[in-house]
Amino acid sequence: MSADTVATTAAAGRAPRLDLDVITPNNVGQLRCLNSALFPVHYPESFYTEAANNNPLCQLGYFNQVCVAAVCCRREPIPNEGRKQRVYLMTLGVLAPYRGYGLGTKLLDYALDQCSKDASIAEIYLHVQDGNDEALSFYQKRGFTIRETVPDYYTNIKPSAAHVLVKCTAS
Amino acid sequence: MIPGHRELASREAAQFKGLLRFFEHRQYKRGLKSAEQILKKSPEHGETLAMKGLFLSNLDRKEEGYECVRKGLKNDLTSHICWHVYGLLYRADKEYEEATKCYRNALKFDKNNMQILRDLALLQIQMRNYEGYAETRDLLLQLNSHNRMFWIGFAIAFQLNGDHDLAIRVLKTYEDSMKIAPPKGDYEHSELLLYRNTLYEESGDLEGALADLDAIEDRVCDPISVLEKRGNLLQKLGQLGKAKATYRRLIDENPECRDYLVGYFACFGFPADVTEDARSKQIVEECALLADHHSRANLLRRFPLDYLHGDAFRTRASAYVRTMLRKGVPSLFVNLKPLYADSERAAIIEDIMLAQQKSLKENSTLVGEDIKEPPTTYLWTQYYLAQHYDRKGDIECALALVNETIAHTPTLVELYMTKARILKHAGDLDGAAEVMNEARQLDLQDRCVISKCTKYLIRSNRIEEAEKTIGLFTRPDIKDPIKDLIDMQCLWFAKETAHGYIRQNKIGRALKRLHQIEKHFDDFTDDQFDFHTYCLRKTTLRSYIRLLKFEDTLYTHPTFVDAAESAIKVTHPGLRCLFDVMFGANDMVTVLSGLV
Repeated sequence: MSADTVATTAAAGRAPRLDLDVITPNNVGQLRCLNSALFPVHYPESFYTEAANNNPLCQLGYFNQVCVAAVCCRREPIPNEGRKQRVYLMTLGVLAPYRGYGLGTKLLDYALDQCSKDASIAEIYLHVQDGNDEALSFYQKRGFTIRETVPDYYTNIKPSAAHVLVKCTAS
Repeated sequence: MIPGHRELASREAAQFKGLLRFFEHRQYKRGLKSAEQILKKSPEHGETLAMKGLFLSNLDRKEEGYECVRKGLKNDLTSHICWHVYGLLYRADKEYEEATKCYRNALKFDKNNMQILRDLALLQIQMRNYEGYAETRDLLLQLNSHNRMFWIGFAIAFQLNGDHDLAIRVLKTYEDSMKIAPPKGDYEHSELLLYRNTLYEESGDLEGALADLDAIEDRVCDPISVLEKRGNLLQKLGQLGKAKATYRRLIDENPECRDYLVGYFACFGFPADVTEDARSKQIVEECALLADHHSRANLLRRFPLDYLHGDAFRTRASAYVRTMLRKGVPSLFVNLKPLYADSERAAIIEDIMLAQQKSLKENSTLVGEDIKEPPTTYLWTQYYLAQHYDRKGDIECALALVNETIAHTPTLVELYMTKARILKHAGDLDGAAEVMNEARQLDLQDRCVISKCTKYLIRSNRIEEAEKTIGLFTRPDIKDPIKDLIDMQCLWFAKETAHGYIRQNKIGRALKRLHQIEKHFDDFTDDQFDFHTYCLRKTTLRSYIRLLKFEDTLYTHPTFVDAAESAIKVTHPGLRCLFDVMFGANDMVTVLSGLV
């Protein structure tokens, strides 16, 4: 470990407390708030209804007991693949001031862990806007690969192209 | 010799005795049925008619009940049962004066009826007729000197009449008469001893109280009360060394109790020539020593701030604030707000917080430290400063800060609540209500923020919306949330809606709410009735005396005063000038023109 790393670690202070919690009809307002702050895309009411139904694939992330992040996934059948399913990662975001502390990783690990518990789930995938190098880097470091790039995936924002990132779940 | 019109055949006489048992066991329907059977044979029997009326009354047929009792009484004017029953009906309707008259009439015809005397005593204490209460208690004790409650009631009567010495003698006589000493853990006896000790203190015999306290200590189950009493008595007697040791033990028991700290430092006996600085210094040092033993007690770090000024205050306040910001305590501003009465301290706090804000924004560190702080430390610093500028009256700065912080962390409910309060202080009540509603949406299971939202909606004259909002937390099986709020005696809601209706010039609805508030306080008064018996049985006498004193001043509660004042203002506008005089109007021209 390099000297710089040691110094940084020593100066980091006590590690913040990171927690996850299920989304319920009572706290789904937090999720709305997060999505408004984090994503340029508007999500329909059905998104929130589904997320708030004690869905184990959806979680809020807390930083020192303040809600600052969320992950929302849903299960889908894989076309032409019989009983195999996949998980679509709809949103994963952390408020800007709270990034770099491992909360996003914790949320993603949680989602991957949920996938690995179910043998019928073959893979997890998501869309990342072209040009969002930060997100691209985040996912590629964790084993995701670009399967394809879809032009004009987004309708109201530029760039409109999106990369499809995929990771096969360990089975 | 039973009067002829009162006599019953033997079977009916036995059945009549059964009526009394039905009543005692609250079997009103069976009692009513039985009474009607007797009346078939003896339709004019006064006492049976009275009992029938009593059963009817308890079965929610009050008018019939009164009618029946009055008829029975008319038929048998010299029956103590008829008068007693009549009194019971009046008592149930809170007509205590009338009930008392009935009981007195009953006693004319049965001088030593213990049950009537007990009922009379209850009415007398409820109506604060202390002299009458003492007479009745005296008579009861003469009739049955084996009843513990009668001894206790007698002692209380003397206390309430201001004769503490006699009260003490009564209790001592009772204790001396006990053949077997109560076991050590006997809670009721413990409370009785503590009550007696309170009598010594109230009579002014502090030395006697202290000696008595030492004598009873090992038989008392409440060691905290013993310590509190001892500390207080020793301090008043000038034995400061012993008092100080006692308060130290109390602090060890509960280092978060401000009264203990105040008592402790009052025993230091600072000489008159000691400077303020020296006194503050000693308080600071002593609190530091205490904090070594109680590292988690926040009061020991907060208490010295009330005594420090200038740079000493800056140093201590800075250390205090640092810990709280790192921990993320939302109530830090509320904790420090009392210090803002001193403008010098307020300025120092501002300096401290602005320095922290600058350091966190530029370096992610607290002033003078190398450790990187998490973003929550910055968040809580911003949150504090928004409240600070709001308190200072700098609305623009407060609003800019809270908006900046909401952009930083838009999911924190407290930020929206603070923003709403800032807007309220700025006079934008509609905007405040909107923001508080946003706060509510973030956490639908927090009834604190829902109550705040309800209040802000009322303040912006949206009463129907407010009722729907508060309805989220009222009982779902009641269609109208207002009914549940009335059942639960929700004073703040009644008060806010009354003021809302007054603003909208809906005087009828406003008065309805104001009368509800009055009704609640009347209920609070009536609620003490059952405890006149209960507390004597349980021997929780100190709490009982506190209850009586509380009830005596019940109608000085701010909510009642506000409701009464509002009701008078809306129904008698001409009295406004009188109110202004009574409540300290500053504008004498207005007062004088009002008088003209």
